[in-house]
Amino acid sequence: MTQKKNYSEEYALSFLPVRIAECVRKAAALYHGTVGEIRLRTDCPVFITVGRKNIQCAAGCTPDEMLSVLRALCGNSLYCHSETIKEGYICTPAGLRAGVCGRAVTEGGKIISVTDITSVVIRIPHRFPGAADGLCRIIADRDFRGMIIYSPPGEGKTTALREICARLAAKPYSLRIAVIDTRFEICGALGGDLTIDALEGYPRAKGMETAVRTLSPQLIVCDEIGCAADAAAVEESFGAGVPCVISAHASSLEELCMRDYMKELINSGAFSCAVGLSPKDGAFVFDVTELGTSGIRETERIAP
Amino acid sequence: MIKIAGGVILILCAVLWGRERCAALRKRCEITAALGAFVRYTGERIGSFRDPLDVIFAAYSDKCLEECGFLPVLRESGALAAAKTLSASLTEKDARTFISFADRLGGGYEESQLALCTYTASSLEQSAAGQEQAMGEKLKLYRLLPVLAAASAVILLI
Repeated sequence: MTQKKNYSEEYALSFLPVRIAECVRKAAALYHGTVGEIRLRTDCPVFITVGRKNIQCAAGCTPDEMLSVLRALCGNSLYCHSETIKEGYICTPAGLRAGVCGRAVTEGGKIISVTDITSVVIRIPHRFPGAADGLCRIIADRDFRGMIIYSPPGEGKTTALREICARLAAKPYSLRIAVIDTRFEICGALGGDLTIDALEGYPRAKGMETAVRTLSPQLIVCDEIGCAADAAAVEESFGAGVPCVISAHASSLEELCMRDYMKELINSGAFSCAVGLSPKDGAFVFDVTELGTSGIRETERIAP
Repeated sequence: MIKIAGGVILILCAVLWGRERCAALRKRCEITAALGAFVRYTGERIGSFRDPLDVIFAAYSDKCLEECGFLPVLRESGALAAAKTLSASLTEKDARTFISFADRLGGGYEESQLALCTYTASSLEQSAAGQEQAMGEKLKLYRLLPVLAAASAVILLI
């Protein structure tokens, strides 16, 4: 049975105790903004993020309330989420993602369990239809080889990827897009009637390999490339003739290239451009740097 | 005539009361055994498929637990609410064990949940077996004692 996707703030608030939810509603109303995140810490005040502001709510979160939030997020089945909790997040069946952390139990340097969870960050995904149209025009270009979108965490990379998917998988483009949605964040908020194959929960490298081998995509979209194996998979896809649109954490292109695997990937010619992203008034500003096979050419700004 | 009719009614009431007690005893034993099987099934589904509880609850069917209202409440309001509806139908110890199980179910990782299911299922199954063993004696008692008491009362009255 497929559960209906729901991304409203109210849906996110439904996981919180009534007392905390009420305080969050009041704080959000005071700032007239869209709540991006709700941060709960045991025995600390609750914070919400509206735009770039962190706003303290009047309520705190007791250990019992933290436990009840966790149980609610897990559908009262914590054991089903042990693998993702080890990775630091919980996804609800309806596609909402919450980051979690506590005390890690390790064995041989590997996390085998996380106990005493003391922080939960509920991220509320939003849609900004049309916000990435400038990038879609670049991707639809015949000479497009690939795109890397970078920004610091929380600036909207995933939202931009979601909007790219929504636009390019619909008419008039109707591209066959394979989305490697490792953390269930991209496809959940998209509707039907799209030419998207969602590889939900797949490790990134494995997902890209599967997509190229079995789904004959025209474009692969993957969020948060973060290791050499992922970068190698992007290069493989490029080698197989499938361009990739990926995202990575960095505040500048120079910072991005400080990671060796990323530098190698960029130098491999797998990307036509690198896009620095920053949010502005519910839209995005893109700093598009053209990347030739022989290196960086020039930067152009696309603003709303 | 009235005395005889009264006596017959008294004996009839005693027979019915005895039967009702016997049925309640059998029902308690049945429910305990059915709960043991339910807990074991839950553990197996968690261990084999890591199914979420709502999926496990939706898939489980048992005539006895359906009739006593446990499964409908379980699917609607969760394990703890369902366990509380059964506390009158179980022995005090079994009710305590099962409520504690329901409270902790879903709140831990796989290993702890499996251990919880194994412990609770064993405890309920042992209790059901004990009740079954003791039932023969108790049934005889519930059938005969009220009738004898009623008959003695009737003789004394007449």
